[in-house]
Amino acid sequence: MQGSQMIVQKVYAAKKDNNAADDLILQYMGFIKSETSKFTGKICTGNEDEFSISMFAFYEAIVNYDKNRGNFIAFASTAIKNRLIDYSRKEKRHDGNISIYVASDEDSDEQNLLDTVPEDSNVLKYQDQKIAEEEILEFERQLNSFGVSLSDVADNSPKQQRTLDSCHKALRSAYENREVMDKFITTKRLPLAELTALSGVDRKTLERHRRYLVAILLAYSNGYEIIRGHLNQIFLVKRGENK
Amino acid sequence: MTYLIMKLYMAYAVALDNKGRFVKIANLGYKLGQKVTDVILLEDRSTSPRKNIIKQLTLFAAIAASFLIVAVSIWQLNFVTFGHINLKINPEVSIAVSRTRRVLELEGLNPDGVELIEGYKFKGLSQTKVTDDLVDMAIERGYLSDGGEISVSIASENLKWRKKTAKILGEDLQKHLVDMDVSVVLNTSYEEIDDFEKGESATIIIEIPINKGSITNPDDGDSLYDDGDSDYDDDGDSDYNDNGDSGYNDNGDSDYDDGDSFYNDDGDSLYDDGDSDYDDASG
Repeated sequence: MQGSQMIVQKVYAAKKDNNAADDLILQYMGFIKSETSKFTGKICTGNEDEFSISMFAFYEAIVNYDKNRGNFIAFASTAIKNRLIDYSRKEKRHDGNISIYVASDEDSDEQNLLDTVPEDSNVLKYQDQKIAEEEILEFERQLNSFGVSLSDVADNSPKQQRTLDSCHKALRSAYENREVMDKFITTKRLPLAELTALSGVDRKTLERHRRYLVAILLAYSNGYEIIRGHLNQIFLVKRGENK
Repeated sequence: MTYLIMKLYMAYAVALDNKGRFVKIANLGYKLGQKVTDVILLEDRSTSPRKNIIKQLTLFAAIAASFLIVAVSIWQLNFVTFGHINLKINPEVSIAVSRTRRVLELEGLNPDGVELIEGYKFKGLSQTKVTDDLVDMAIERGYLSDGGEISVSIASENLKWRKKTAKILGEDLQKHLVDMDVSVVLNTSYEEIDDFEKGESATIIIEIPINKGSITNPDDGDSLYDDGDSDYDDDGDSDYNDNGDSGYNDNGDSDYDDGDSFYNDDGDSLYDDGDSDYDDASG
């Protein structure tokens, strides 16, 4: 009885704290591997996609667990099983697909399909990948100086389209006002009063998504071209609409 | 949708989609800065306390609404007047009944009617029990005897209900008055705009053969069974045979063969007394 209460406490702590979530996942690594093996019928080495899915499902179980739903382990076991079923179904759908590493011409083994993909595709070259990695790490460092982590931002990101649009409206008004952007960078605080006044968006909506607003505004403050390039359509398209 | 991998954790990754949302996805060996298109998104089904309260309130409201609907339906079926039955022997009594034919109110329509129902507890009783009791009380007090007549009027806006009520009442009175020579006249009021103007009435003959009494309606010769809607099949239960008692033979006494002839009951023929009127004059 006491043991199950301990687990519940740990799960509730892991909901709020990423380190606690990682600790819990490490503690139950054996269980996660065992559930994966049960499903695949093979020994789980920890390198399979199925194992990654099981860990993700375990984390999902932490996020969605409610103590009124009964035993956490049974809940997590069901969550893992369901995710693995979904994944295996999805994989079956791709069974007929050809790998990009397969030779494009049967007579030639020099060129594979990956080489035929155009330069501007989503597959980044190693150099580009390194630049992107460095930019993102710098962005994360800056974000942490605002007291915000990327995991917090993901939790705080608007889920409904209407709320997302409201947040973007407030962000656009700040982006177009140099003073507001400067104040944001120097004080490392979100100028909520100015954002509300400039955009007309309800202050409570902005307060509720403060960490998300900080992250996006930071991405538009200086540099971060790769992130900004990825987000280009948020501001550039709608900027024209406002004028 | 394209996702830019922003952070890698042990069990998941944080990615930025190109609509500006940060999301948690399954980490399938991604690298920081990688752009991916096909991801497994985290399903967050946990709800905030505020949402929980709203959910509970919604559930409570739904249960309360369902309960209210059921309660109102039961109340309407049993406690709202759906029709009236006027029983006229000599005492005239109006009986207000619900859709399920429970008696809700009794009203004496003439002084004898008022006197007849005085002290009679009718609340919650079925219409057949009340009509039977009223007929019995009328017999006890000398209002009804052999050769008498009971006139029953049934009024309601629902034709089907009216017909069914007439049938039930007719059969009940037939059974109840099996030992008496009483005729029952049934009148049903039509109030349907389709067929008749509101308030206009018509009479219906119900031909139910009974022992001594008869149930008739002399006015229009319109049978209940001719309107294309059979009353016998709508409940799947035959009304004639459910008591196993036939109306014809249960007293073992036939109306036609009681052995008593009008012409022969004194054993003296009017024509054959052996005495000729012509012979007296000759003497």
